[in-house]
Amino acid sequence: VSADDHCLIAECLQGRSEAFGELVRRYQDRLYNTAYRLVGNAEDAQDVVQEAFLSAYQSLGGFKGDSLFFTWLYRIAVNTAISLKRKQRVALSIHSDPDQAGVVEPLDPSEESRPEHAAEQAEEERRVHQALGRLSPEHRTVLVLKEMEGQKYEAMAELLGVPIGTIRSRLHRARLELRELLSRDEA
Amino acid sequence: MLPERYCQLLTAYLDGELSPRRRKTALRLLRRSARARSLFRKLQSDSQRLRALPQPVPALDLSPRVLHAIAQQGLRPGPLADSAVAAAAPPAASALPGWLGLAVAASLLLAITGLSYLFFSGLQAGDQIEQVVEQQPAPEVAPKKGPPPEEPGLKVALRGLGSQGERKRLTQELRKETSYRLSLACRDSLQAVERLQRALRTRGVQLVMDRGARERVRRKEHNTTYLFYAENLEADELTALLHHLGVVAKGSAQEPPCESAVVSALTSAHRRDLAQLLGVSAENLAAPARALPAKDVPMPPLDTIIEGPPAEKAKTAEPPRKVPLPPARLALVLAADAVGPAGPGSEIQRFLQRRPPQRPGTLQVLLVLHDVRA
Repeated sequence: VSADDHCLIAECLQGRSEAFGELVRRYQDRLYNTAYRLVGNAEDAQDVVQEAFLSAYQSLGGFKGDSLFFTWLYRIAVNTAISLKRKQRVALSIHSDPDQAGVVEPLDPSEESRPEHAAEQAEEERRVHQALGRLSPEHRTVLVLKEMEGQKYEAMAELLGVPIGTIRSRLHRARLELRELLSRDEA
Repeated sequence: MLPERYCQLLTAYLDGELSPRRRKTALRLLRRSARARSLFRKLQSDSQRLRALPQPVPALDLSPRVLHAIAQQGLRPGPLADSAVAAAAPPAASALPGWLGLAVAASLLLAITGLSYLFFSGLQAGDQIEQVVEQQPAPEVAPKKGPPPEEPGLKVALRGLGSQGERKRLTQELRKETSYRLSLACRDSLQAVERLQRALRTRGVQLVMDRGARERVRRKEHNTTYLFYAENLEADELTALLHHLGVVAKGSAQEPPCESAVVSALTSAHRRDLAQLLGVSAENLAAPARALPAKDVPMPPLDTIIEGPPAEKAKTAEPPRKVPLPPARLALVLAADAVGPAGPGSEIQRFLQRRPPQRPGTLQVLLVLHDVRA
């Protein structure tokens, strides 16, 4: 844990909740990014991040400092997102409008300056995001952790509390399922 | 359809999660089976598409919302663990007086003006710094345009990287160190930035542009010297990026954006100047450790297996596609004449906050893209 994080945690534990605000500002973008990938929309991602920070705040005294504070937070956020996704699974399949989901504005201004490129890019992102959103929470989670977060199998197994073999087979099935969805969409 | 166990072998190979023995099996499978190659190409492409998705950031700062919820629900942090008490002792830096921040900001402001000039002009001698600072009273950092100065180092003609042998030689050369500075002579530095951006996107690296650089790109301003800083690049990725900058685009009669590069080690003076520019201490930009033992070495390139024999490959102007590294890597682009005394902008801060730790054996790279027309 960085000295700065320790200092802020100590201040939180002494009752200065503004210090926790600083921790939120420090890590919200990274957590939000993961949460967004896991839950598939901005509103839920914000809720997940907020929930994760609140859980972390309540457990702050139990944080042993033997891992990065962000790793600890990250674990809480991923589990919160998975849990939310499981709860919403049925509801989402009925109510979600996949065409509205995941159209993320390109971040890169030079891309924006080329309209046809930006349109193609947005369409490509929509397709991939939509396919990702159709995966089961288990499959989506392993793909996000592996592809977007760069986690190793071992770390993923620890994070999700399952054996490495399960991660291996889930990822394998997730990739094939995603392939199938993307091919179907392209056809 | 490939048997399940082969598919699983390929997905684990794609993830770089195989033992050396299993990796050999996967390579053998790819060599012998067209179906395996086809599936692997598709999986690789899906992987790149996933990694190329933009990274969303929250539209709002969530801290007020979280603090409000804490207050509203009357939440309290849990009981203090003993180890946390010991670990939570505030570091010396936290006891520094408040005025120090202002003082540091003021000195940084002055230092950035001078050191940026030094940085771009390639000066390294510490005793020359004060003199140059005095000579640069203007609020704007010295605009540095034009062809790169003669610099010591390995000169690489980028067009030559069309040859697989040359790429291999350069990659081997780049594996000797873990941090490099490359001074590039560009016919069109703007196009070079755009190409870098596209090439990085396919490798899952997000480009963060400083406001000054973004403005110049938006206005399509040529004749600008751009600075590009990246971490966690593999040697073969850097070679591929250089190749990308030096090849003629498919179906285009246009000259490639860059002609040549001078490759040299990133010296402590370069690092110190870069650190000043970014508003961090040089320790924050330390070179990555050397490669881990053999079992952790990234998997070998698949080009020769996936993309056919070299004779066939030479026909294509596109650089080879590699299995990308884990995502969330960031690269930073600055315009040399736009990093002013206002200090590091929010994009630089974002880059510094979000960049992942440097992995052993990867490269820390600074490219200086000089526009030779200027």
